[in-house]
Amino acid sequence: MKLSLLHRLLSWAVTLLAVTAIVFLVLEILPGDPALVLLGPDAQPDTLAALRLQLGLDQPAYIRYGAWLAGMLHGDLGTSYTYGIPVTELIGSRLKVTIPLALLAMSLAIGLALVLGIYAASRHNRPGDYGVMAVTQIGVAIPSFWLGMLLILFFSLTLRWFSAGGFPGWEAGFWPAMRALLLPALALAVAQAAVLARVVRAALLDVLGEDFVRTARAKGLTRAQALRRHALRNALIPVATVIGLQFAHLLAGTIVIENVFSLPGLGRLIFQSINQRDLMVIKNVVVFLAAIVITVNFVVDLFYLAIDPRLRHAS
Amino acid sequence: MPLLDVQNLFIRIGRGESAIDVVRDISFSVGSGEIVGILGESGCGKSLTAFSVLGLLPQGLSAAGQIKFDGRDLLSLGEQDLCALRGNRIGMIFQEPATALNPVQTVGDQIAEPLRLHTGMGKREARAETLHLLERIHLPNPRAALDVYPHQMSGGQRQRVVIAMALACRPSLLIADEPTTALDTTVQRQILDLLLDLVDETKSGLLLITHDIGVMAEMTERVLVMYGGVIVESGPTEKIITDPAHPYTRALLRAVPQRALGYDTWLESIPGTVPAPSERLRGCLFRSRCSLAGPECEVQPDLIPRGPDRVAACWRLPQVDGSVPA
Amino acid sequence: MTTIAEPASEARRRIRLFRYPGLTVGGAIVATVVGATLLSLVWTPYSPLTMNMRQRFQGPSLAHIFGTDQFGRDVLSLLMVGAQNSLAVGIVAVAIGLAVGTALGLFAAARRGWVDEAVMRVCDFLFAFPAVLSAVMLAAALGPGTGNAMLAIGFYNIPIFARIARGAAKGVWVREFIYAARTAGKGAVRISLEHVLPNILNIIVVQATISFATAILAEAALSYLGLGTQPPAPSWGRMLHESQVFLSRAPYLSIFPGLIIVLTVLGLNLLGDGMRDALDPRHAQGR
Repeated sequence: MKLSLLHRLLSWAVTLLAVTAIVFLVLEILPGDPALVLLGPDAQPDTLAALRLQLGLDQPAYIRYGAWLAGMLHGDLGTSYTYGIPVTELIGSRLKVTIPLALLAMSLAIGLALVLGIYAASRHNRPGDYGVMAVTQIGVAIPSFWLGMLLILFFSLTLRWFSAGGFPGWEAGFWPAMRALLLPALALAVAQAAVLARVVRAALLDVLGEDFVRTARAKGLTRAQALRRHALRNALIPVATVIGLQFAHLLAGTIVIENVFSLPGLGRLIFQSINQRDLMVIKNVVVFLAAIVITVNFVVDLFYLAIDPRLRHAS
Repeated sequence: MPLLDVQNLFIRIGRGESAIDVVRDISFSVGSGEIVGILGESGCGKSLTAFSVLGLLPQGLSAAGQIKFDGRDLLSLGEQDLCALRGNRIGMIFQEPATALNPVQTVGDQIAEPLRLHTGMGKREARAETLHLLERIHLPNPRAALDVYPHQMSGGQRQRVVIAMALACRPSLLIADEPTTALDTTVQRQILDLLLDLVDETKSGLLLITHDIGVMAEMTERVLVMYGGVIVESGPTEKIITDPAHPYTRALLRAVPQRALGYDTWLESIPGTVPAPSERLRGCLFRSRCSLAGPECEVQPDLIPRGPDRVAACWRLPQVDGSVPA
Repeated sequence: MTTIAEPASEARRRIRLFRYPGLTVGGAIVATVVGATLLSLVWTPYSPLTMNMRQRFQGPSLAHIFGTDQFGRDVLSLLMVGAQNSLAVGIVAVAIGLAVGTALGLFAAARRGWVDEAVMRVCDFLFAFPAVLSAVMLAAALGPGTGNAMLAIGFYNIPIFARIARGAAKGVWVREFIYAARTAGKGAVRISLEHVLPNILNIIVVQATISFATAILAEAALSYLGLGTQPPAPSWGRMLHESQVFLSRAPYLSIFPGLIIVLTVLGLNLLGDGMRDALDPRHAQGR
């Protein structure tokens, strides 16, 4: 177990390093001159030269890459060109929106998916099952940003239950803040829930056909008890994989949804930074988001070890 | 009154006109302390018969007729009443111990589950009883086994666990579906001995499903031979082994020595295969593989008495002394 | 017996027709969308780019069944032309993912061992970059545009195809005719192309259909953000972005483009699932 843990930890670190390399390559080498990216094509030559010096662009690429990594290890991601404050500070303040949003969306998605998936599996090949499958098929096809717009149209503009966007900040209190996150989280969650519900259903049906579920029934457990106590935990293994993969989509989805609802999160930050050509922010936020995705998948790996004793004892 | 009394049991796939009977009109009984065997090739309906007693037929299959257990008709019981009987009054032992156990739950928890479900025992009490059960089935180091996962055990040990699970609530009827098929020969021996001891000790009835004539001969007192969903012969095991009546039983017995020569199964040694349920027409199902078949076999034979306690379904047998001609 | 058999087989034939409703419905939707797109190359009800300020914000009517936008342009015409963009991005993105991914998957399956391991690690790595994230990077580095959207969505599809191709190809490599080909002295590349690829093609085609659906969703999201196709070229995502300002004034401007996206994606998914079921009857019956 220790060995496999070490192995996974190592591959996590290597992947993370590869992410920084790719981001550096795409954002600093590919465009040719980052200073030109920052200032735009109309920049004056002397401003460009000054900026190059300020950014250390006269140094060779590998030294700049090394300096970036070293800074990262010290928690120093540089200073935003447009905001003039440290990028870490910027990310930190934006995370207060994005992380709660992503977690809320993920919980909504998991909750919805479990309810729909378990219901469909228990009604296998009956109208209830077909109904759920049809709903999920449509759920997958709905663009999250469009769903967000529909939610605004219905709940904000027509019913006036929620504001059409914006974020009051956590200073305004927990519930007002959550209220502002609910519609965006729902818009993000529906497509993920649809995918996940299908996975839950398929995994449950796989497991429900297994002998040990029949054993459980022969012990006198009802169908529902057998499903809850024996099938569900075994079915969680494939479900967890998909949840891990979905988290990546969800995080990427926040970039879109935060723009629909004008939420001051990481997604909106990265989007604004593109318009403002704030390379320093972009490269660090991209690495940060990718790092979260990789870390979540790493945690899912650990989760396997916890849930499946067979993996724990495998040498 | 026998413990288990099955009368005119039909098991069918599907509904309405397209329904097909996979088990047709079988009747048998099992008394307390008695071991009754059902012998047949795979696909003959013997396992389905066992599952119908528990009310656990796969989806799409339904049973009709009468299955009386302790005087109650199981086929007319609701799901709740059936759940109260399963694992409590009727224990089931499965063929494949590798898959019959939940891979993510400890052995101890799995055995304790029926105890907690049916006897209202608390966690600690159930654990103590589980330990006791593990001792009874002669598992080496029973205390450690409580917290072990199935994949950490050998096949024979797992099957002992499955047996302990079936025994947990001291059922009056045990159903064992090919309990030794998945095991090595030496382990088979031990498991069979264990089952014999347990039946002797608990006086529960045992319905033993097997395709193995050796197992049947050793374990059972009475046997039903099934072919293509019907009983072709039944009677005391000893009589059937020494003097089989039905051509199918005879063919089975003739095929036994060939196993010793290294054939995996004796199936190949009888020419032909069991007709699939959808291909079953009228008449004796065995006639296409039978050396005695004649024109009268186009009509399905009834079970005709063949001496005390014995019946066989064949038109072509010579009359036997003491039997009443049909 | 024979008199009964006749209507029974008749009934069975009828069942088979309705056996894969997804295939029929999905196929019909996709055919309609593709047909309308092709039609838009030669004809649209109105000129999609001509503005007509007197005709602004006309709700759905017989003249403009999806209404007109803030510049008085016909929404249906815009949607038809916008479909060209969606389909083009989808086709190129899937082609990138399919070509590179399948090649990687075939390579991994043929080489096994550390090569296999390495290819799979690369796939894990690529999974860390959802399409939107790659598009953000490319837009920052090279400026936003249709090409970037194609590349970003294409990259995203590479590991998906690689994994599917690898899994299926591994199943083929252990089959007997591969041994026959190897004893005949054929190399791994030739075997992969001549024997493995044809046998996994149906799985790849099914995945391509489903990836096409996700590509259309991703393209819409990117052009909604302004990271994809740039104005004035009409695109579905862009239309939705522009309509959001008028959400309370002219909700139909937001509703119709969204419905078209949902319908197209739904059609492609139904088609893909239907094909998978039809190709693998076990899959259809079980789940």
